[in-house]
Amino acid sequence: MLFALANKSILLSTSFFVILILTVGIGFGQTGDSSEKTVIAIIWIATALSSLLSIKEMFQNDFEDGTLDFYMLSAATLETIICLKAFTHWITTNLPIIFLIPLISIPLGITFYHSILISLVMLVSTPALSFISTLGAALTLGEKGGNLLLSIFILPTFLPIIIFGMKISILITNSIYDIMAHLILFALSLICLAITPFITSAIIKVHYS
Amino acid sequence: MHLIGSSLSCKREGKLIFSELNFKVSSGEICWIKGPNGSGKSTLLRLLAGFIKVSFGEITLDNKKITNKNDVIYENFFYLGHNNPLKSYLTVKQQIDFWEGITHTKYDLELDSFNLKNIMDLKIYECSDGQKKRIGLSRLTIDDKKVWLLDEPTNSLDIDNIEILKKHLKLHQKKGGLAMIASHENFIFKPYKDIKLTLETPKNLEKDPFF
Repeated sequence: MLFALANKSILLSTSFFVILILTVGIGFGQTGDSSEKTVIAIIWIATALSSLLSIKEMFQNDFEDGTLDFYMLSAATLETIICLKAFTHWITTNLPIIFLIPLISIPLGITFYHSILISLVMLVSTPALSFISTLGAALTLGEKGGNLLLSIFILPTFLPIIIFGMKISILITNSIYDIMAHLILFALSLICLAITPFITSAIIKVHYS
Repeated sequence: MHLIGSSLSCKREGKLIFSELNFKVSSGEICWIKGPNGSGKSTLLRLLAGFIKVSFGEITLDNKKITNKNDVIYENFFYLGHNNPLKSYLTVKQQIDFWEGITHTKYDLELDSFNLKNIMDLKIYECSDGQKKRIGLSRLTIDDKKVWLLDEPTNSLDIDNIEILKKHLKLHQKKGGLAMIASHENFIFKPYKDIKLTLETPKNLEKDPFF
């Protein structure tokens, strides 16, 4: 079932992430400013942006071909479907990125131990991004060219997580590891998991009628 | 089981699509929704499935009011619109597995009512329109529901497969299910008792100051 929910965008968003990091990295290389803070900012922004890439496809295809109708009339509740969608989105776009972070941040001047900690922070915070994304996907359902609109909606809602995550990551590079902050990010993800499926399903139902 | 619509009206974007529609369909009956293009056949089916809000009137299923209730799971309805809910990048087998996963019923490969055995390993984008329609219709045997809402089920089907569809409708009737079918084609329903809803062409509602 997960297989069918997933689509082929795994490689796409991962390569987008790598290309973005490389381009921005090279761009900053020219200015001679390659402090760890900048690198971390780049990593977080790149994660958020590549997360945005595949949001539109979450419900749009299902809405167009009628699979969403099938979900609505099936025994599975819409909330379950939305959770699965968000989970699939997380596995296909965020998880590969998390694995890539140690690989990509070492050449950018972050030690291996620190980069592992940063990917741990990402591991607990990115599910929140995926769950918030379902809101945007539902809001722009059926909208032609809703991609831009979606980015405008969704990027600001990513901000709290980005700010928090970035702060923790910067502390990590200063060798301060705050487990409480880590847990708070995890809590944010869990809150999103608990709340967004209901809001999203309400939006989809309103959209239908 | 009775599906009753009483004085149903539907307005969309200021236009009255149909009004004062009354019908009653009981177990074992097939209702043929007739009407010219744009007369609201698809709208009526989507309305019954609960996808569109009813403007006036109400729909009852077994004396339970089911009009405009978002929280009702429409577990009795099977809906197949004119766009086939298929994922082009899956194989036929994967698509059927996916439906089976959600409905927890199996497509009977021994019986293979829709002749899918030979195309099981094809990707869906490699299938012809008729084959796609057959795959879509095969969900009738996987997704076991009491009320079938079919929108143009015979489009791009050949005569043999229309016969298969008829066979399934008969089986469904025997089991006490009911079906509402929107179709232009006349001939497939001849052996059945049918109720005809002839819909009028949409009227503009500009005179109505309250809408």
